Amino acid sequence: MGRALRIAVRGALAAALVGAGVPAEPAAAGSLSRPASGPLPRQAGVALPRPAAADTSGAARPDSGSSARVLAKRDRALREIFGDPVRAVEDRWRLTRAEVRSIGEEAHDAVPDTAPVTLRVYGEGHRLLGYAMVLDERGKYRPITFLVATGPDLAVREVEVLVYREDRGGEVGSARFLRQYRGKRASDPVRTHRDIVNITGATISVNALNDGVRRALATLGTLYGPEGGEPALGRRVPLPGGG
Amino acid sequence: MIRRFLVRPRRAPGAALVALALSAAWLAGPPPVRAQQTGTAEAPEFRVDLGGYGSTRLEAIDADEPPTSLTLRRLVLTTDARVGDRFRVYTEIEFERFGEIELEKALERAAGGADLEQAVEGTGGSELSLEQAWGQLDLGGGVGLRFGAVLPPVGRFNIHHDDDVWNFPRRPLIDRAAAVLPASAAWTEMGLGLAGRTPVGETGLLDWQVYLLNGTTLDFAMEHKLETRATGPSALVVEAAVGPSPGAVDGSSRADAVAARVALSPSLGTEIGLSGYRGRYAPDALEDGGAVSTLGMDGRRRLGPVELEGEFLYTHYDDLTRVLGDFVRLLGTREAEAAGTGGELVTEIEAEIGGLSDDRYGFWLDAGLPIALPRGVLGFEAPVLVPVARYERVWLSGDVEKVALDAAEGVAVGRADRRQGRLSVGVAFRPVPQAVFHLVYERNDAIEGALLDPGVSEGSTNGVVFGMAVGF
Repeated sequence: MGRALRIAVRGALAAALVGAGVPAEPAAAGSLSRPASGPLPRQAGVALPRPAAADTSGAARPDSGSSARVLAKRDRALREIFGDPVRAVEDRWRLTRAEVRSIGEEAHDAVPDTAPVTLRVYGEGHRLLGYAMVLDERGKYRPITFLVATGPDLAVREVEVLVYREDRGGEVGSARFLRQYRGKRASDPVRTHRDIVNITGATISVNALNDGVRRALATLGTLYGPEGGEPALGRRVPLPGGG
Repeated sequence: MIRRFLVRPRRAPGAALVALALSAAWLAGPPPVRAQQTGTAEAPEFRVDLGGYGSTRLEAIDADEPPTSLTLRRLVLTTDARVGDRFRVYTEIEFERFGEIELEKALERAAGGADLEQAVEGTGGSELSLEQAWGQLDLGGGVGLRFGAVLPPVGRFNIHHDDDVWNFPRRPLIDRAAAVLPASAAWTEMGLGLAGRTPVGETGLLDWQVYLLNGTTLDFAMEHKLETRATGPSALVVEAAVGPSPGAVDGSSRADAVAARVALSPSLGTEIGLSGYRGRYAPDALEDGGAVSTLGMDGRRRLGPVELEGEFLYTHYDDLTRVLGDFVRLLGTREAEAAGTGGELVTEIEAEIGGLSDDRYGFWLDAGLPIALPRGVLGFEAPVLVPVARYERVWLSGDVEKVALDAAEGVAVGRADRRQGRLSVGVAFRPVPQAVFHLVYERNDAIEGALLDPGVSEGSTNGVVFGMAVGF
């Protein structure tokens, strides 16, 4: 299988640190961080990391202001899931055909994302807390934007709906529904009538989340290795600069 | 096929561009599977989703009626509009067994006068109705103020009546054919109320609705029949079918009914609901009106892989004999004015009473075992097969069969107790979540009195129903 290519690293420091397999410093571009208390700052002159899904979907267009809204929700969700302090390093990928095929087969996804954006989330002392992905999956009428966060072992730690745009089926965003995904791994079915309890009247939304969780787990497993862990130079995370 | 209208009020440069945008949205068809590929503009402050559901079925029973037939059971078209962040408008227009309704009117000169002609043509059993039309203002905290033609929240079927949601091709007896509900589902009333959802603990949810309604009343529908006979006079029969009907929407009936439902879901897949309705059923034309009261209990539960769902309803009509007498007396006066004979054509007046009993109660219980089939079966991504069974029973205590006025204007009400049971066993196949094919064997048993549905003279029937329901 060919190596995945990261195509965007913003900031020389972040590039160097990430390329060396070391988490970026708090102020580095391409990372988000926060002080011990208070809101997450937006780095001056540096765009906060943008989820790939939000870049091109109608849900989070750069010109609509909703992209920033999604990002704010994403950052808040990451803090809620992983606790304080937290720092996330964004990896942008361009997948090889083999990787796309692998993800597609594992996630039963006919149209895998060929340029996913993933997040590595670190705690104090550069300790890897886990990974995350923001996804858009189509509900009945509109995309549902949600975040899938895993632990270092690539088991789902939490799923959180960031933006739900439908008028019906909003219960998929409830904690009582989403807690079903905790602990799910790529090897789990993640299907209604198997290991996910359906919501009557919201089946399409439930299936959308199932599909997205499967895709996230397959993508993270492919990119960071089936066991997860700290990405090592020359293993899954490519050299900086899209090399 | 889903078509989306995406409209930006006040931002559009002109009507022509809006029309162009609408046309483009229509021609563009549904969005692709992956949202990243749409790039569709979206104005979250105003949008309209078009959708609907429909069902068809083929049924055959071992009785003379109804014949083995294909039925376009219903087609419901829905619009769901978001008007700003906190206001939503929802409508459903139902075409039930609908083929065609055509009205013809003509005025022509004739020797010494004019001929006025009006004719209504249509397919039998066709019904066109506004099933829902309400606006809702989100008040915050999961509570909404809802106003318009709403579904009274009594039991669980009426508020979740979309055909594609269910794994059976026929609606339950107590909600439809032998309605214990004050009116058959989908039962619609003009209403004003509140609807809310409140989380309870980590896994619980409290769902509630309460409405002030116009409420069901005794109403009549005039039916005309021409009965031709080879010997003897033919008859033009004017039949007044009398029974409870949903309240008027034209402001002519009092808003004196209330309905409410509270449902607690302690965890996903489990819910228990309590509901009730009370209102005056006598029409406003009668001075003294009795009340109709309905109590409901419903729920769903998962037992391992088996999904159970059920509903119990009980309805009581106060002072039914007196109200019916007053009502028929009222109709009788009018009928007398219309009655008459002429030549070989006799005009007759008849009144048919239906849907009224002192007490009506019954239940249904569904069991289903959803089996997620392997991906790719018949080319579908996530097909599901559901072996299903339903048992239902309905009791009509003091069911009114006939009301007669004697010469002294006294009222004689003919009553009978009736009971029916129905067992349905079969399978439902869902190739995609919003489409289902059903194949069900049905057995109906008249436990007391004649069968309620189907309305045949046999004491029991066996039948097979194959149906399809789709939401879109």
